[in-house]
Amino acid sequence: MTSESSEGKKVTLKSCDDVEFKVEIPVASRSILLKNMIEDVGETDQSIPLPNVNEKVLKKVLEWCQHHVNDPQPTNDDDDSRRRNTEIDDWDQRFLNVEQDMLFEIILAANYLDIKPLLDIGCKTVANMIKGKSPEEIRNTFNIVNDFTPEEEEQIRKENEWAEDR
Amino acid sequence: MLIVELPPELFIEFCILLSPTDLFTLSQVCRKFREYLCAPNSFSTQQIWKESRLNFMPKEIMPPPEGMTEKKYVELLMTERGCQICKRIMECKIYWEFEVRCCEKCRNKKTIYRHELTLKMKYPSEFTNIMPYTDYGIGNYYWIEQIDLAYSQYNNLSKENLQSWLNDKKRTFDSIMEYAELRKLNEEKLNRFPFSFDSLPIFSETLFNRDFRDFSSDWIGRINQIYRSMCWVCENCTNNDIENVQQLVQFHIQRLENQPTCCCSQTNIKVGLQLKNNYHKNSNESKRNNYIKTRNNKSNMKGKNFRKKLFYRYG
Repeated sequence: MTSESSEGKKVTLKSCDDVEFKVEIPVASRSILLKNMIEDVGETDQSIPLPNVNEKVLKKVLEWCQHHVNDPQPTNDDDDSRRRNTEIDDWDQRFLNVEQDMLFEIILAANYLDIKPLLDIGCKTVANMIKGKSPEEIRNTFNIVNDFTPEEEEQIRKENEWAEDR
Repeated sequence: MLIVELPPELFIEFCILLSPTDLFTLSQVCRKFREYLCAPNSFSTQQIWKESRLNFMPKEIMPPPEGMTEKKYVELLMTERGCQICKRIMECKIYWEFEVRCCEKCRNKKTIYRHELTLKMKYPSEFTNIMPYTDYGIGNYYWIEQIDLAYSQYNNLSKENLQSWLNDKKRTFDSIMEYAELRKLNEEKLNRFPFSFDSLPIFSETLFNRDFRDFSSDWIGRINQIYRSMCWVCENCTNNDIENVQQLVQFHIQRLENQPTCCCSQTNIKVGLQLKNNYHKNSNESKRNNYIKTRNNKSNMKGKNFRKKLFYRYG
């Protein structure tokens, strides 16, 4: 299906909580999973069920797809360059300025729907939240329980003694 | 949803964006992260540390020694963390033979002179010959803890097992000594070219036929330093000084063409190396050449391969 013939045509997506979204094909095609599905199935009135994504997250993901509808499709070749570039553009930063819970849901959905650029900015956001912090700060940031036994703690302390010397 | 609930394949996705320091911190946060980052046999764990090393230590493109995990390798390479023995932040050296990074003081404390072992303590040579050593000052030194551990193993072996144990140790010995030598060569290569050969301002017409003996002693010293760094394999050469610019240019051209050079004879680098390191079965040079050849390909491929393998693993 060429992009011209898909102009204006819509496809229906159904979230796991049974909410339907009518989306233009180029927007849905930001997801490689959906793009392949649409290409395989051709035009259809039936809705595409997405059992792993709920309404709230799907709405958010589609908002991103809508904004980035005209971006060039990523190729495998710029795998390296996109990793090295840790910048996130302003719109994306605002877009991902959400509750942590939502952020991880978006990352999961991006992975499931195969939207690499969205997965990347999600992971970059998480990486930025980790950078330069101490273990305790990371626990506080992400609400992680310290589940090491005292023996393990001692072991870790020994291994990383250099850090406390500073 | 919490960060610890993310599946491992997504954990990897943001780990490969983090520096080794951040990865070490992350491994101290909770059990799950520690599991992900410290599993010695996990391909993904290796990949995380490798990506981090290649991204944040761009000079460290050499793979780790055989049998060493990427994590331990990165740990050794983090010289800014100082001595691994006394934990003080001071100048220290990585001893690849012992897989440790330490300061001079700790090295002196932790090592033992070969003659102490063989002459005074009467350790059998079949044992000392398969233990990694380093040379500093005069003679060869062994890492005491390594010796103690291996010697107790050695003494507890039955006759039937002894030979296979020795063979195993010999293999490890060969591989680690070869790696240490390779490291040394690399370092020398980096240190011996304090300024770029190509930027030397001596290749003008008027200078081309000039005799080097006209130069100030400072220049002769610098030029001979470069010259020696190119034909270091040939022992005969080190006493001769290069005589004129033509000779130097010729070496430069040969060097650019990757041809082994030496002024005194047609000594081949391979032969030179084999002479120098006759305890090595395989020539370092050939390995190094292979390594350099494949290096570029490898660094280009890593991203793709990683994705492919992930894909294969997780579907």
